[in-house]
Amino acid sequence: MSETYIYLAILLTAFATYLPRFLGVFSSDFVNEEGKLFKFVSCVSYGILAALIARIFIHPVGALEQTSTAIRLLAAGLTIVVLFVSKKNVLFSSLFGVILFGILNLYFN
Amino acid sequence: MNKTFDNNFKMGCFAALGIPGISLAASFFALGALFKNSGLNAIQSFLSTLIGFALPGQVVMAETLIVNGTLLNILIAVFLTNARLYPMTVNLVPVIRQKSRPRWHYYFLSHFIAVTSWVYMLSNYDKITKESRFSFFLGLGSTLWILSTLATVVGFYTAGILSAKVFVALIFLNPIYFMCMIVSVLNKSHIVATVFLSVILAPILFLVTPDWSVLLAGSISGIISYFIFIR
Repeated sequence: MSETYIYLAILLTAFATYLPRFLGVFSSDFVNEEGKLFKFVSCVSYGILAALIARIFIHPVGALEQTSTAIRLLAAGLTIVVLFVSKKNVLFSSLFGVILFGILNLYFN
Repeated sequence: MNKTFDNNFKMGCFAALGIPGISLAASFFALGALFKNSGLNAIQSFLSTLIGFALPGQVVMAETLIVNGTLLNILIAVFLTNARLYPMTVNLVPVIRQKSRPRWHYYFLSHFIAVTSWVYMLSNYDKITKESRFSFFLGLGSTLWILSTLATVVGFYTAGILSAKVFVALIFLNPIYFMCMIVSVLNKSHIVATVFLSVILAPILFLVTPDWSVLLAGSISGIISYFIFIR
């Protein structure tokens, strides 16, 4: 794989990443914060984000792929419990989730 | 200029330096190591995050390079992976819009729209006055971008230093943080329904069409919730 090929891949990746952002700004002219279209786009955005997170936990790629699905789901489930117990303290809950996952992965994977 | 780089900008920078920045930097740190193992050099790793700032697309690029995929493969795969940025941008811009600003400000700012900055802004915008949101988001997004770029380079140079178990725990921080942020703001019935439906649909659709599962699950869930709760 040549250096030029990698640079071209990076440029194409940047283009394919910026394009939806560019189109998003362009389309946002037709959306106002109080309208129904805004709520529709909110639904789709949160839906895609939730799907992305579910995919990372259930079918991850990269290094997480080598870890147990049961451990990932157990850590995620208990983190949600801690999030509610801690009155939605995101910082505390996130750290709890990572430490729990680290310990479970260390001893049971 | 002063109106943009004001106290709201600084507040955005400080917000990014907390858990959003830590969790994102951990993921880009891991990305730097992945880039090294994929055959990229330090400058290429740096450039990738600098101009193509969106982690899932960058991972797809690295993995396609590993399997000697064509440039067309990379273009299509990255576009599909990052297509989620379209509704996210459409959703965010009306929230931070100021009528006095020229359009190019938003085209520039959109480079900083990624999951971490989007989730943080959408979860907190009602605590920030409308006039302050653009500057706040610019501070938030640009700081996250700089942190991510630096973390990619540090990850590249320190690949292999951390044990595999610590490394994988660091990667786990980002999805856990996203999950906590989303669950913590589930207070509207249409969003709650969308998230639940999407979490159920995504793994099922993955078995049918892995490449499209995220976009399809999110879109179907969003459309169903909209028609049940809003329309």
